[in-house]
Amino acid sequence: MEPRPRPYTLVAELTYKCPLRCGYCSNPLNLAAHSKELTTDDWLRVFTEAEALGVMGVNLTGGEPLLRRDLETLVARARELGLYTNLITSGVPLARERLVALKAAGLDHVQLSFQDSDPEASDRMAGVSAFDAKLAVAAWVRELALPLTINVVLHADNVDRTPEIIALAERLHADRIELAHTQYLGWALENRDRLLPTATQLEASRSVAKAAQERLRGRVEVSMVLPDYVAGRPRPCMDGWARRFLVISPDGLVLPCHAAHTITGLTFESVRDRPLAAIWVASPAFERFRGEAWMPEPCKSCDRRAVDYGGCRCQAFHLTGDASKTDPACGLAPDHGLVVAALTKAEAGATRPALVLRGPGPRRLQVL
Amino acid sequence: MARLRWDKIDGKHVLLSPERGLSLSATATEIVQLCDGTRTASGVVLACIERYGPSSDAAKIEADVLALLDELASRGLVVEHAPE
Repeated sequence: MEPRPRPYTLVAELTYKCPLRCGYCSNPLNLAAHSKELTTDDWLRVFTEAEALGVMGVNLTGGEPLLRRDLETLVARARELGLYTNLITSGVPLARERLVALKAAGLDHVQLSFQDSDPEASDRMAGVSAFDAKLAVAAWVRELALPLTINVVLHADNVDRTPEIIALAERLHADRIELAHTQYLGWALENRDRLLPTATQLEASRSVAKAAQERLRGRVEVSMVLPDYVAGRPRPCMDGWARRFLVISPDGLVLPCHAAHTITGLTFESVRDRPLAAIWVASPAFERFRGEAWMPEPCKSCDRRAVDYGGCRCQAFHLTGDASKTDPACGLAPDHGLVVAALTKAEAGATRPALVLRGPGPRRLQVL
Repeated sequence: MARLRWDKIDGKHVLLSPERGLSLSATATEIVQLCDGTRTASGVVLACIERYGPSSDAAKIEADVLALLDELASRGLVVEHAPE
């Protein structure tokens, strides 16, 4: 029996607003439904309650967390509580003075996203001109001696440039390079037929990343998050439902992962209504997929059930309509055919659909 | 990049970094605390040998400390920098 779960990391989604409109965004499609954001005081209380529960680090993310004018205040409180504070940002909009203020407030680490190594392709995916601003931000982060991770989400349109992406991150003196193959949830699922790479593309990027890992060992950490679609095994989503992570949406919903509130039939509670500890321990939605009791076969008797926890509940829901099924990414899942069909389509090399950039309200189409 | 923090729930020090926390034994914590930006690797080894006294097995301490530092360095949790 596992010890009683306690959260280690708080993912604070401060806002869903973002100047960028990346078509692989994992935010929910109905962004507007969550626009009543928590106040500064709400977040300060949440940080205190989270730390008391055992949380040791906070990821300040979004949307674009820089759009919160109280970010410095939030960083200062997080640091006061001894939390490791990680800013996960597109770098837009940021002025050097503000980064100085964030560092002074106690920021521990900056994770800066690029959409591509090619400026035009990067801006095309972002839907705005942001590449040059990101270069400037990366330089300031280094000047201020803040640790820097460069993060790039990989997909069919940029995966062939994995070598150039790694070279860009090296040129920017990143401490860490995170190459994250797209997880097909939220806007990325909408764009799956456009974004899913072929097996050949994937294998090439994997071997480039592996070579870079060897070459840069001890100097730059290179990590690659492989897509679960091709791995044949589900990823251990969030290290298990309601096991180590607490995610809080901009409007205060307490979630086990970024997309849990897109599962219909589960009711998530708000930090506005109930103390965080009560929600963590007793919320029915948290209990629903905690541990192993909920598992169907083949998970229930699988010797990897404590390794991957049955995979991603959101993916199971969005692909099969039932969140309690085995993640279809698993080769043993009864619904694995759904994933195989998507991969087959990507392999067939047929004309890929236009990218849908994220946006509020009715989805806007843009041919790229 | 990494920062040491006391975990009151598990009663251990944890070395925090962007994607993970590394739970440290009491001895590992002491070694990490010696990496304060003023000591070289051999300085850390010497400090440990002094701390555990003349009866300690210096060669074993050196091997253990260097192995831990190597491990931490390979994860980017401890870095070497030029003297200021």
